[in-house]
Amino acid sequence: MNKKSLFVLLIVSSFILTGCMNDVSELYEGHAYDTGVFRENYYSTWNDNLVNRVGEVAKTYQVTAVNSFQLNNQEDLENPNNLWGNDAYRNVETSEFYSLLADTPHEQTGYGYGPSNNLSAIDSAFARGFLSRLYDGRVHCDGVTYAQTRVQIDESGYGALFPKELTSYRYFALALRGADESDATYFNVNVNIVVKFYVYDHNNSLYIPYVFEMKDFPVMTNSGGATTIIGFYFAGVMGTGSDLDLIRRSSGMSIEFSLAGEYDHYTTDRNDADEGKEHFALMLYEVLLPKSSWN
Amino acid sequence: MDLKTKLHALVDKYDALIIFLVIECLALTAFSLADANIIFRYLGFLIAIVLIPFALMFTSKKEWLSLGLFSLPLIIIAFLTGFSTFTRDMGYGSLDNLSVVLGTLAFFFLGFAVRRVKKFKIDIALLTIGVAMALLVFLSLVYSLYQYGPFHVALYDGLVYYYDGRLFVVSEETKWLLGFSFVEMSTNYVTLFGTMLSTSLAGLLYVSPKNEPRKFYITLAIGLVGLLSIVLLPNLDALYLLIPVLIFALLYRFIRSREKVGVAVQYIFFALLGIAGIVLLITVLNAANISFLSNFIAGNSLLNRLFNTNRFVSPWNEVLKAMLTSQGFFGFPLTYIDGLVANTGAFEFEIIKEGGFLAFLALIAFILLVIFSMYRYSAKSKDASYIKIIILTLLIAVFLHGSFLWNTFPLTYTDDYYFSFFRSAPYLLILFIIGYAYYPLRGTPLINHEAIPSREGGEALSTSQFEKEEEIKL
Repeated sequence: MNKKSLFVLLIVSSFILTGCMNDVSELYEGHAYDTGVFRENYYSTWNDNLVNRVGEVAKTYQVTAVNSFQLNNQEDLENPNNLWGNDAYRNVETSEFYSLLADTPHEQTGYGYGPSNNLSAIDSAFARGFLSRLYDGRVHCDGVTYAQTRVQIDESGYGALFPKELTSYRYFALALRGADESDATYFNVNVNIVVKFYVYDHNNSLYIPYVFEMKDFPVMTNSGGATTIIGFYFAGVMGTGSDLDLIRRSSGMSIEFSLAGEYDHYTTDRNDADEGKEHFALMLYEVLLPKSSWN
Repeated sequence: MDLKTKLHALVDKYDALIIFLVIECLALTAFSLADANIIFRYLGFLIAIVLIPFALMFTSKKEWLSLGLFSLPLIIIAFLTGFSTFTRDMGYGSLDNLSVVLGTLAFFFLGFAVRRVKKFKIDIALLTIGVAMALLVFLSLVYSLYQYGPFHVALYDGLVYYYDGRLFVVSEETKWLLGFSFVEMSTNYVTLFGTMLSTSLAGLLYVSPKNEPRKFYITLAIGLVGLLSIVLLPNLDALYLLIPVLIFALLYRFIRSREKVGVAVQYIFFALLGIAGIVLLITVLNAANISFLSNFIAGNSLLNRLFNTNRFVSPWNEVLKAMLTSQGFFGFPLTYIDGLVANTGAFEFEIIKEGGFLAFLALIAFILLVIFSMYRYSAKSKDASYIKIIILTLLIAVFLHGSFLWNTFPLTYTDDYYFSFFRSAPYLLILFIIGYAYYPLRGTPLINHEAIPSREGGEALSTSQFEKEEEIKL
């Protein structure tokens, strides 16, 4: 073998051997978190960096009914008190609103609210992995993919790194509902949700959390595929000053929750086996950062 | 200057250019550049027109007649895979459909006609196809190894991943260069190309690395790229289908007294062909729900398993049943959901969806004619054994792979993009090779007749003179 061939072979071999193997980095046996048994389907994975390399909380913001919005139906979407500016419009010139119900990914892009504002549509890097369920644009159960649409969490929630860094952002929203194992249907349970954005501090090699405490939000529970969308504008919560830049370059996010009212008959701990208590879970359908950009 | 002299002058002047164009067209098709098969089909058609004088010069009238009869099923296939209920409903567009008709016939004719160009060398054409396709497969293989690592199909068998909120089985896909980007593609689709390349290894049985090192190593490299693209997944089904190809190649190479084994082989071959024909007939009649036959089969557990409930036949039956309805006669409308989604895995049955009953019959007839033609080519052609074995193993390999592992929806993330075998690049290349190796079922082609003087010197043997000497009938 001459030197040229050997060189080509070495280059190709090293390329292969040092391959990223990205496409096999997150594999599951069969349908993950979709066994049909309520207590087996909790997703509670935290990225190691968000457990072991986290600094002190830099700042905490309170999100209440005053500086947030909640969308339960099309009327809520079209209500100018909820989404700001043109955010609810699919066509400003003709005053056409997005459809909250239309949420088939790709097909209803530009028409449905979910498929037009989801993270996978903003950046395809969000399309891979189990959490792509939260980025695909399905803001409620579409009657086709069922459990594949949602992520079930207990109070300890989950924490994940974004595939890229957040460089600009406008508002944050969560499509979710509550769920327990009882036969009761269509009732509200108030929850406190803690959303943390993590900005990497290169000097200290730590992820610095910025906390958004979303307090006392009523969420529809055991509502089949129906969800509620709750959210807030960063400018509405952090103000329009320099604070607004604090979460720029966020590279991770976590979500935890607790029950806001007196719900003695519930436990939100997946491992809690107290007799007589109902297990309560949040079913997350979508994490939305509309009009954000990533690098 | 009469027409014949003008044609001679034309042929002598432009043969090198024509060969270059043909090779270029084959290379682009083999590399599937930009996945622009529609362009390759039209390009093939234009070059085929230019080749008409060559074909006219060196083909006798009886050869034309023989070729016409041989091509008749292909003409039916071309028209029905181009224009049918299916293609209308799929909305391919008339330019695309027309390109299928012209391209199908053109690539077959290209092979037939270019053989009549004196300077044309088939080994160069085969190496060009091999190198271009090997480049496509190699790029895809390297990227696939980079993303999955080697042997991912075996290592992660049955494991799933999520993409865009949906679940996919990682062991059913690999990376493939489609157009200008890599996509996730079914392993069965990708290994068709690997299978085609692997057959070049059969040619090494006739090439000495000492005497022809360049030819040996290029052929070896092409074959290894193909074989590695299958082994490094690995796709065991594709490997199993290479076993009969390997056995054929070894028998072809090492059984020297062909005359002695010839009769036995012929009997076995015709027996197998007969059995296949009977099985096909029963399958069709069973699908047509001929009551006494259907009841008889259903009442016998072994026959029921053979003709109704095994994984190969079930989708065939779906398609055959739909074919035998009035709406399915000229290809299926999209409303025939069961028939359309039944993954037969066989191009012989996929043509029923795309072209209907007549196209199916024409394809069966064409396959039979090709088998006999290749038999004659193998026995009578003066091509080097290196060429013959590659051509024959290539056709067998594509036939086997296409009969069991063809996937009409190979794209992982998109299930509404139908991949037709009859619109694919491998199909065009195979037609070219069939056209090249075409041999009339009786007699010898004019170009093989040793008595024909060269174009440069002497008086050419007239067609009528030749026909008197050589009877060529289909």
